[in-house]
Amino acid sequence: MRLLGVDKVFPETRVFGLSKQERDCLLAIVEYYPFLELYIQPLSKTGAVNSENQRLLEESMTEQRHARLRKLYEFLRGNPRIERDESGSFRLTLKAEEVEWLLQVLNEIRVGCWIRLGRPDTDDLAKRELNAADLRARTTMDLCGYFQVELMEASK
Amino acid sequence: MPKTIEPIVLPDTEKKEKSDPREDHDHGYLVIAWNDPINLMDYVTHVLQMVFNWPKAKAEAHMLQIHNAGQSLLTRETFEKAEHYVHQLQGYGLHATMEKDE
Repeated sequence: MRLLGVDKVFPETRVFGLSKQERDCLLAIVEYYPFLELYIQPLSKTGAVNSENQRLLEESMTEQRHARLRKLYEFLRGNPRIERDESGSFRLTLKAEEVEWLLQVLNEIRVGCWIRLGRPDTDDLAKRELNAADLRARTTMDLCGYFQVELMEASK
Repeated sequence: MPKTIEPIVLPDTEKKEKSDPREDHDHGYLVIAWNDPINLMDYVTHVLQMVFNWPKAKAEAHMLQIHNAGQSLLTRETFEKAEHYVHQLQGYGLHATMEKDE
């Protein structure tokens, strides 16, 4: 996947080129979302907040996840964001805020894979023998990282 | 006619107990990001740029501090602003909290 350019009419819009394999991988991994139940971290480690503040954080995280999920449904079934071009490759068109949205979705899936693998350190993961389920999680994690890097490049 | 005694009203010296820290408008809340072994370094830099609108060099310096020292103090704010930033950072999947600056 690589950034082809910025739309001339809508400069906030990024156009990415994808091979067929990249397109298939991207669509397959985003289908995993949300992957795991929402895990909400504490707002404070030292009790600087009360339970109402923590509840508001949980509400906000839940709403953010629902919003991402709603966008994902639109992305997967809505107007074709990934179109085949004349060379047989694919073009993915995203607005700037959609780049951020897709980054967050991919990151959540990536973190979800890591949690499923038992939250290993990078070194542990490299040494570990993986069963089929672990291998799926590991591959998905790496693929998410690959697409995240490309999306971040486009934001620069 | 008997004299009436005027009641003496003392000034309210009792301190009102704060139940909601949101009432605290001091810039006394620290937003701290903590290290985790999963978020990509570039991703952390990107998120800090997006949330705080920082230039890349500043975001990168904080990211490296998180990576090397285990945590980085990102900003000192009022309760509401600190809370807003933590919501955003956690929304991106970063491990961030707010702490009272004692």
